[in-house]
Order: sequence, then C-alpha cells, then structure tokens
Amino acid sequence: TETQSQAVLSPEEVIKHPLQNKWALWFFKNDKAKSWADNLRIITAFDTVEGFWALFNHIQSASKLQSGCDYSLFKDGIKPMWEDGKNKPGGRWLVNLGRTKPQDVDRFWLESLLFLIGESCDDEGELVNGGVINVRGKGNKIAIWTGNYKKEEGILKIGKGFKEVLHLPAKTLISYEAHADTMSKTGSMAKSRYSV
Amino acid sequence: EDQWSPMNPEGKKQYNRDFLLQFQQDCKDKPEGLPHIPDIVLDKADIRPPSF
Repeated sequence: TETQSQAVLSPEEVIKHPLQNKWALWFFKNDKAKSWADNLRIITAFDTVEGFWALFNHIQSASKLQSGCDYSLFKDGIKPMWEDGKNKPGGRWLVNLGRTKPQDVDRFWLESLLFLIGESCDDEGELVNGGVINVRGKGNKIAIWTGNYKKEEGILKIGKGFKEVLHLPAKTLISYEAHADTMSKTGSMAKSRYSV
Repeated sequence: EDQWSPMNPEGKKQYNRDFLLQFQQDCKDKPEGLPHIPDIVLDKADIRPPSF
C-alpha cells in the first residue's frame, strides 16, 4: 500500500531507470524426454534497471545450474537460437571458461549481463542481440551474440568491449564464430571469423 | 556525460556496471508473473553482489 512516507522519496528513488532496450531472460534445461523447443522457457522481460535487479535477485545463480542448462538474455523479440531472423546472419563472441570457480562463473555472467543492458557498446548497440551462458560439466561457455557478422568494425568493437568487462588478459584470445559456419562445420571447431 | 536521469529524461540510456550495481540492494520485491520453475525461480530475494 502507498504509505505516507512514499511522498518524501527523492525522484531518484521513485522513478525507475529506463534501459535503452527491453530484454527477455530465457532458461533452457536439457530434459531428454522433451523436445529442444519445449525445454526452452522465457522467464520474463524487463526494460528498467530496477526490473533487471528484481529479476536477477530472484533467480538461481548460474554456477548452481545443472550441467546442460543455459541462461540467455536477448533483446525482446529475438529468440535465443541461431534460427531467429536476427541471429541467422550473425554469430557470437565465445569465451570458454573451462572449469573456473563458481564465483568466477557468476561474476563473468553478471558482468556480461551488465555489459548488455548497460549498452556498453553504445554506437554498436544495434549489432548486439544478446548473451548466453552454457553450463556444462566439461567447461562453461559465455557468448555474446550479434547480428550481421560481415560488419567487421562493429563486431570487433563489441569483442574488445566484452573482453574488457570480463577483465580477460590481453594474451587470452576470444574468437568469433559465424552461425553459418558453426552449422556447416565438419570438425568440432568452426573456423573463427575474428579474434581479439 | 549526457546520461539519462529523472531530471534529464532525454539523456542517453547507457549505464556502466558501477552505476548499475548501485541498485542491486534495493530491488527485493519479486517481479509479478514469473513462471513456477522450482530451484530456478526463487521466492525470496537472494542478493549476491559480484565478488571482486
């Protein structure tokens, strides 16, 4: 209920901070009994800073998910799959975390989420579609998904920005794979289009 | 720089991680209409600031 004290809150506290984009968080659990699509569920969407935190504070941390689960945060309207029209012509910057400590996994994932919703790549923002964390026993992976992989300059800027927020050492290279290559790859490793 | 604020509604909605992190502690109310996914969607807020 609106209490009397509500009136004295400063504008800062009452007015929520709008995000540049509306984002949707998805959860994927690898349940062999169900089809891939049925295993993918949208949790909710939000478009304010406060909306993000209210959600983040009420979901399980990534490091505690079972192997085979994913969290995906994508701009509202884009499905977290390469088949989506906005993802198909694009690709992803992929960071293999290997078996890092749980709190590092959670820190990397939170930095990635803040990188996305804070529009850290301001002028490249258009190219950013979303981010995914794959929780896997053999090594967790975090990726930033973008549109049109041919836009080299913008894609490289996003990669450098992402690497920066993760505080990865310069010598640790991260690579960018176009979805088209990943789909048609023969070996386990798709050829990477870029690396920073 | 020209960042959004209640007094500057035309400002840029671009926020760095330090700015965003300030709000984590205050958001304790569970959002409406979350799906029931046991052990994923929590009933009580679990506020976990990143360990630096």
